[in-house]
Amino acid sequence: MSDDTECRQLCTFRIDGLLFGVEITHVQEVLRAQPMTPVPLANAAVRGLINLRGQIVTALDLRHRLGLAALPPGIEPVSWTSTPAASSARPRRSRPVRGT
Amino acid sequence: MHGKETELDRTILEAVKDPLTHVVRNAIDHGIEVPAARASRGKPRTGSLVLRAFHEGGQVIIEVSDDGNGLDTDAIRKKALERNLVPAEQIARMSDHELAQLVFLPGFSTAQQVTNVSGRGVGMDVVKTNVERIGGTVDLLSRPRVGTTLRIRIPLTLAIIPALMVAQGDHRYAIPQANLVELVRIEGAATRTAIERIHSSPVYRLRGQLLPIVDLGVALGTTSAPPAADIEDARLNIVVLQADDRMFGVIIDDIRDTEEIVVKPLGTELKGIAVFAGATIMGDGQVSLILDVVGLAQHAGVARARKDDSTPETRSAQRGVISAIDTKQALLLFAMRDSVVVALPLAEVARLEELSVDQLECTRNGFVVQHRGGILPLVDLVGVGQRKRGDSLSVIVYTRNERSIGLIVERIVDVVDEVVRLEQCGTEGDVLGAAIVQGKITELVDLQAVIGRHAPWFFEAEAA
Repeated sequence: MSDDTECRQLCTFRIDGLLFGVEITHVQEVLRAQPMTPVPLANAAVRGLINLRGQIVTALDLRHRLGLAALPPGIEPVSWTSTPAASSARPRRSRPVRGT
Repeated sequence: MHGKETELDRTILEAVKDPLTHVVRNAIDHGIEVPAARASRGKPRTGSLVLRAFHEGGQVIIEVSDDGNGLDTDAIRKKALERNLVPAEQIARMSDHELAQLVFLPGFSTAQQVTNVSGRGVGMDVVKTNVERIGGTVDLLSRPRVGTTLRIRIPLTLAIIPALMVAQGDHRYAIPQANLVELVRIEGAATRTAIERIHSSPVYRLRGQLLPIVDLGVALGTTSAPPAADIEDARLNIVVLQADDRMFGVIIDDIRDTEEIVVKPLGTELKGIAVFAGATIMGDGQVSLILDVVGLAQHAGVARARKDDSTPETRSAQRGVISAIDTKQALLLFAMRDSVVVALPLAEVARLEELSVDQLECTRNGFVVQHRGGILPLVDLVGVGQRKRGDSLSVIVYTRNERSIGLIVERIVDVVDEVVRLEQCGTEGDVLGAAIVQGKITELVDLQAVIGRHAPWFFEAEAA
């Protein structure tokens, strides 16, 4: 390893068999499947709203964002990661993740 | 100025902006004395006006203080008696502080001189009304010759609102009570006939008034609960809402409950959806969306902003004439096309003509007919080309500035006298609105708009 190699921590997860990573500083927490309230008329990538301990967080469907096939009905995504916006501590979006 | 960093909900800020301006003007105009008077009282020649804003116990307090003359309680007492605002015996018992509050009564001004910025007696009552509308209070503290302090207390946020919870499909939505007018429930066989249609817009007749109807499931693109198989069990819930100055009805699956809800903003990803004002967390932890009534009305097209028209003045003038009249008015009923009977104020019509297809001649601008030694241009609303030779045509002639134009319509039906109560109900374009004529919902045609659309040159020539 050379000196200029920087070490970064990533939160990794799998979607549809593919391995992805998100910089851990962007991850506030990882959640299990939550009841969601869908938002009619919203962009199709918006899965719904979840109640994160009294805060309302928009859940995005990463599968949709990445153009992958939707989860077959009946199989709930396993967990979510919630990423705070770079500038604020408020969770901005959460993403469904399979098999973290 | 103190407390510039004090933050306020934007909606609240909007509500206090005008009152504050007014209060500041008042203080400068009436409160602070002229320099000479100040000097004689041992005050600095320059008056001072202090604006303070700070938080106190979940409220924001805004204070406007001046070191001026204070309120002239004798003048207030005199004025109140003069204007008969408060009974004389009550005034006699009032403390100075109570007297000071009298300036909030409508029509009160103690200023000797009316200037262009204040003193017209419309002001402090408006200040009070505006502040109270957002749940705040106004207090006035005054010490003669020392100064006046006006203190406005307003809630930090309008975030907690009473709302009606309704169910649509599998989900619940909150409707702010402030927009709610009434709830209508229709049961049994009546559900089949309750909703009528004007063209494609559904309407409901609520005590003789036409109410545009929005189906929440359709508006949101979600599915509704399947209609009850048994007509006896069928029911229709209509929530009558007020959006600005327009009323409309929303069909929902079920009405649940009223609740005090905490309004939470939606994420930036969802800000663009005008139909929702925010979201809230219900007692069971579920998230519910809050409907934005004005946004919903616009989304569903029941409160669409009127399109600009080539003749806006004439349109509005004409609309004014029709809607202002509550007495009987002669209406011409005719079928414009497709056998749909519509109405037109008879006053707009110069005359009716029966013409034969054979009389028609063709020009670049469409059909014309020789008439009384002149040329009468025609607007073909029925498709004359398909008529056989020898057929007769019904023509409505409209005259303006000694120029005439004829509208070929399908059929003249009748002339009736009706009290016209014009309702806007989601219709647009060539229609002024709808009214109940002889027990049937009939659209009133905007004749000028029809002509403007089919024969724009008719009005253009006039402008030239």
